[in-house]
Amino acid sequence: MTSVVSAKRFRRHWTGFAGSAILAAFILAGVLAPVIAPSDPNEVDLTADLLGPGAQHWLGTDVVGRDLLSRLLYGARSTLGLAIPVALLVTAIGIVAGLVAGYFGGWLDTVISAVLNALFALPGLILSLAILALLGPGTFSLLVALTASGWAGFARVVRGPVTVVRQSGYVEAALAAGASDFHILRRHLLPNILGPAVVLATLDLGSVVLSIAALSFLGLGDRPPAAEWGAMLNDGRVYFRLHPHLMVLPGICIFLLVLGANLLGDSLRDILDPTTYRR
Amino acid sequence: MTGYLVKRLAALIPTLVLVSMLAFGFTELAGGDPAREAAEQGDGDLASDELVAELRSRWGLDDSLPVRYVRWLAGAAQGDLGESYLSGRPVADELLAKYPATLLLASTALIFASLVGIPLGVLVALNSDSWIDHLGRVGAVSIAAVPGFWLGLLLIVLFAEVLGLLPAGGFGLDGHILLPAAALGALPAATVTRLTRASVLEVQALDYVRTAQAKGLGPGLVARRHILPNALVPSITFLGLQFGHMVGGAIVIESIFAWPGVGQVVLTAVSGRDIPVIAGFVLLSGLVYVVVNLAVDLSYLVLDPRVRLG
Repeated sequence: MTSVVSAKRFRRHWTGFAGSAILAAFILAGVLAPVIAPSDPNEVDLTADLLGPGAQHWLGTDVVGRDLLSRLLYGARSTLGLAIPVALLVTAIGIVAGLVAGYFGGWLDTVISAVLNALFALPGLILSLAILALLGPGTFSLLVALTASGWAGFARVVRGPVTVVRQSGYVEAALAAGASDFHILRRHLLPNILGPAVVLATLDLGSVVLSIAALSFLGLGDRPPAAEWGAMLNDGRVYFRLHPHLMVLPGICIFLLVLGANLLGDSLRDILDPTTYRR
Repeated sequence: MTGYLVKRLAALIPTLVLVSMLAFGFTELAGGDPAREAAEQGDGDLASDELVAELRSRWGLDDSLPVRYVRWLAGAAQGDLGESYLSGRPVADELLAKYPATLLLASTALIFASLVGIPLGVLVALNSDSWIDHLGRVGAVSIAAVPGFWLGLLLIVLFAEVLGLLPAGGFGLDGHILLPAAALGALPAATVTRLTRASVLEVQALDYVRTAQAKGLGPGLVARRHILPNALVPSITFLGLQFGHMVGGAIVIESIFAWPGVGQVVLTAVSGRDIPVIAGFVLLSGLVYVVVNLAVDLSYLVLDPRVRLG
């Protein structure tokens, strides 16, 4: 009996461990890219174009002879360098909006909820594209676009539990004792939503990475020759027949990074929310 | 029943109003002075201030923001979304000419997702905690991490280039739609599998199912008549909400498969800062969301007797 339980527990946590290991590896690769990359990611060498994996270039080179491994490492740097700030911004804005709407209620809640519903009607990619049309392509535009299209989902999830906890006895008691709204929000409501927020932020990281990849695949990310996985994948598709690794490797990087974030997020949800244990 | 529909409709109107404000806001934020640009287009010289002022007043650019919004909205309601900066053609014509192909692709992707996801979800639920269940879970987690456009490219390589079974791109209701629909529908298929599995397991344990079994109904009949309709509700809600995301995702998938949908129009507009087209697309997306949501609400009437009778 005990062995069954511990086997189950191991399996549940095993995915979490795997997720954090993958995530840590990519963060490390991104941070250390300037140190560990074998060569300059943008160094063109037309005499060494489209090489397969070998001793000189471990993962080969692209059409203008740039070292693929170096570009993949710098790709981790640019992807995470954008995805982590976006996830943090989305989390911060979402928490504040959700707390304010759920706690104060009234017309504030009506307005914020209406905005959340309207943003829900516009899928993230459509809103991102519209903002990119206004601002033009580039890293900063992506930051604005992805944050603007991401925070609503977060706020919606935060608002629900806040409206419930708002009614609870200990919040009433704190109010009766003369605690300020800010004090109640910070000390009594925030701790309640921190768990779900961490889970959501982790899962959000995965979806932000996917959006960055898709938008840079469409040529709306950082300008060339910046090493971005989506853009590299797009460049590589022409040469697929003879040089499949140009298209396959950036895809695998995106896949692994998103998988890592999702595994960690799912596992954290199981740990922090006991009601989902059963299934 | 009518009360239910009226209530649902009333809840969606503010959404539509806010989306339209957002779309209008985009046209305002685009900046520039259309009157000056138009006046200077005729001759290369700087336009006289009088001419610009005349155009401004003729186009109502000097009116207050709310007045301009209401006029824009009234125009939009009659199908007038302005003209594309790039092509000079009416935005509504540009979008509506291409939108049906995108809707076709998005619906096919969702049909694919239900045809794959619902049976698969029932299968894994009936075999919960077996190897089928675990395999299904690994598959769902993996698919959620695959970028749709990469999956599309891999499908092209496998089915078009290596096996030569299906066309790599182009339009058609035959083999042409299979690969893009599968690439677009893979993620919702994985989610539907997960949702169906969870809700079948949940509904299976409810009292009314035991009642049905106790009165001697066979397992097939119990599953069809009593478990499935209830277990489908979360999936249908999800598929309805997902429809807009399918249209968004279709923009990327279309560019890979040369599917002649709205994607090309939108992407050209994004890189060319063709804001009227973008604003029109935002408005259209909000409208589609509202219509699909009403359709989902209607489906509850069919599936859930509590909604129908209450």
